[in-house]
Formats: sequence, C-alpha cells, structure tokens
Amino acid sequence: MRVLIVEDDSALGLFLQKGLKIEGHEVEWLADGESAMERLTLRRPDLMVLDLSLPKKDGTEILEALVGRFEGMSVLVLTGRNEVEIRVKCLNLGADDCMLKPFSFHELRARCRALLRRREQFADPVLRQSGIELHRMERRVTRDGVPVDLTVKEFALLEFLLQRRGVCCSRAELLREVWQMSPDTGTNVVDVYINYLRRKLAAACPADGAGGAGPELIETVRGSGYMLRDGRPVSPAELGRKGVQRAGIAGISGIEQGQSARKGA
Amino acid sequence: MRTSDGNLLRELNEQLHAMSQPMTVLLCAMEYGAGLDSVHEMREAVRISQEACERLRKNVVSMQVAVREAIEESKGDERFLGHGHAG
Repeated sequence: MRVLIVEDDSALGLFLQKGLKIEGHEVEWLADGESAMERLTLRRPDLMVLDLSLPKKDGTEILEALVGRFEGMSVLVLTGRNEVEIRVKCLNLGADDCMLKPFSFHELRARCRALLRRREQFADPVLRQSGIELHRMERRVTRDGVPVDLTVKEFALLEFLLQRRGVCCSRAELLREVWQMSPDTGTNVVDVYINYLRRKLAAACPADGAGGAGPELIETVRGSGYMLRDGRPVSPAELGRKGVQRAGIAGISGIEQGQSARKGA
Repeated sequence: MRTSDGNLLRELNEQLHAMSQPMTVLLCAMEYGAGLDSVHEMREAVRISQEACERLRKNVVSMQVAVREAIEESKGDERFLGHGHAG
C-alpha cells in the first residue's frame, strides 16, 4: 500500500515513515501542505496521514481542497488541538479518522491498518494467491478449486496473511491482530494455528508441503514470524538474505512441539 | 473572567498544544526504539528522545513562568482590593 505522511515535525515524520515502512508499505513523507497538494495531484496514495498544523497550507485547507476528490484514498488526521470542533470539521470534510496528540505509535499503526483493511474490503471481496481463494463475504476458502474447511480463527489468520502477502508478519503482530491478545501473554497459539492452516492447505493440494514435493506456502521467517509467499519463485540466495527457513510441516511441527512442551513444562 | 485570566488560559492552551508535539515524538521514539535490533537506529531513537525531552522541559518552564506571573498578578489584585490576609 502507498502511504503519504504530511508532518512538519522532522523527528515525528521520520518515526512515522520508518514505522509504517516496517509494516511493508511504500511510504513517502512531506513536511508542508503545498508539497502535499502537488504530490496529490500527481498520484493518490492509498492512505494519507495528515497533520493539521503545517507550513504553507494547513491540513484543513488540504481537506477542503480535496472535498469530493478523495478517489478512494483514506485520510487519518493528526492534531495537537483538543477542540472537538476541529476534529468534527475534519471528519465532515471527508477524513476517515482523527488522532489527538500525543498518541501511541502502536495505536497509530493499528488505526492505519484498520483504515487500509476497510479500504481493501471494499476494493476486493475475494483475496487470491497461489491458487488460494478467500471469499470474505461468503466466508469460504478454496485451493485450486478444492474447498478448505477452516475455523473462524484459521480463516482470520489466513485472511491477515493474504492481506500482507510477501511481508513477514511477526508472532506478536498476528497475536495482536488476529487474536486481539497482548504479545506478553507468552502463548504459542500462533504457531499452533499456522500448523493447522498449513495442514489444511496442504491437504487441498497434495503437491504442497506435507507431500514433500511442493514448496511450503506459509514460510517461517526464522526469529521473526511467518510470511505467505507472494507467488514468485524465491532464489536460494534471497532465502539466505531473508533468513527464511523453508521448513516442511514435519520440521515446523518439531519446533512447535518443542515450544508446546516448554509451555507444558 | 478577567482579561488576564482569559489570556492565561489561552496561553496555557497554546503551551499544552506545543507540548503535545514533543510528547508524541517521545512516545513514538520509545515504542519504536523498543522493537529495534540495530544499535545505530537505537542510538538515533535515544538522541531524538533527548531532543524531545529538552523541548518538553522548555515548554514546562514557560508554563511555570506564565502561571507564576498570573499568581503574582492575582496577589497584587487582592492587596489592591483589600482581600489580603495581612492584619
């Protein structure tokens, strides 16, 4: 997803840019309203994080100039003013959400994700990748046309991985986004459910994973988390750089069983 | 409400607004820094946090000065109006 940050504070702009890049987005940061308007005339991002107090042209002026021309772009407004009228005005002008400073970086990221998720839901009710089709409205999944019977959590997990295909999702992130649990809980539920998902997806496509012949669709990124392959072949050199462990289900099960055993102990 | 009280409230509101910026930087730097593996990036986060702390300190000092001046002014008013505790 393309994200445009318009924030005049260089330290904050830098953190927001770095933080959202980690999420796998293409992020551009501009420090004044006029540059933002120029950029918006050239190309609309998927999400704009807009500070209200800006040099040259403030955030409200930008929103006023964009009324009726958002073209599917989501807007998250940041403001240090606690007057409710300002936030109401921004929302009325077409902003999707407002955050009052000081805010938590985690909350901002979560709100960005929610806005992009909502946007994506409207954009495409079916997520497709490597023969997998996830029908969001009908809540059903197929792989190469074969139905895959998933539980509610397995479905939510696959949906999240499909939305972030090609990007490593950390265990903490999956725990927070899919289970709404704190990463501090120390549970291995993510590993367990990834294993369930792999088995079910592999069962629908005998050439994959468990059969040993095909590549693993959900890769383990050693020390980081999991990633749904984006469909293109990955070279061994690239694998080495990413630190991706292309473990088969048996290998993963071994790791997960070890974790389960530690939990049990 | 006296004009000076109104000015003081407006000034405090402005100061609070000014404080929200370094506070956000500080919060973001701490949360972002907590997830970093790179020493270089960690140092950068600490440096930016220190700058934000300094900006916060200056804001707090300005607020203290404004409040102190307002208190002094109100004491003067009380003495003028004969509402003081003297005697």
